[in-house]
Amino acid sequence: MSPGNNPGHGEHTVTIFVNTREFQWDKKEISYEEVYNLAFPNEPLNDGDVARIEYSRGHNGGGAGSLQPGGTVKVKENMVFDVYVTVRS
Amino acid sequence: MRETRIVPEFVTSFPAELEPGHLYVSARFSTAAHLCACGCGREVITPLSPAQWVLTFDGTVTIWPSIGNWALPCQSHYVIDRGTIKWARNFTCDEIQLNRESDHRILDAVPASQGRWWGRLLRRLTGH
Ligand SMILES: [Zn+2]
Repeated sequence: MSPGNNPGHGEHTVTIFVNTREFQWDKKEISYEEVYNLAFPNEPLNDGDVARIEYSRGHNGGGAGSLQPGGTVKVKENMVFDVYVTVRS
Repeated sequence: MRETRIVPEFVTSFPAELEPGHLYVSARFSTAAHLCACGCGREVITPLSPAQWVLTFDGTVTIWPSIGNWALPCQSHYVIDRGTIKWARNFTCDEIQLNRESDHRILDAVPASQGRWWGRLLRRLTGH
């Protein structure tokens, strides 16, 4: 890892965890749709789908919160995301 | 094929490919994963917290409350009870909608952790 080697982007890559799995992310922010696609790359998000995305160990709002469709959140090293479509009943 | 039994697998990260009949539990990330018990092959994620799902391990695994896969094509619905899949009745479309709304209300009212609650309050106060 050599963050200084990427002057065009000016940002270094951070490690994030989506449903426990590790990913490298090289943008400042990540959107609801991007997190979903990391979690379920083979299951495209259809209209009306109800994936819940919750994050912790981030920057905003004490580091934890939920992402809504169309929303983005600033990423932070070792930030954690839960993505799930299952409902408790 | 429908699963009848599920055995725990304690991991840090979920493997890339889950095996049917295994419940992968990550204590580090407080979440669990398994392949839908109906056999459709979809990955089911159940974050673990008092407001989400609660895992009990006594040599076998129990997850409460039940798992409603309404968002999956199979719409399966079951309970994992002492290592056994107990199939629950399929809900009607209206019941699915009601269940979704009430579950989300509960989740919004009873956050998964103090941090989440505090985070929401802070965001509300600061407008972020
Ligand atoms: Zn299924």
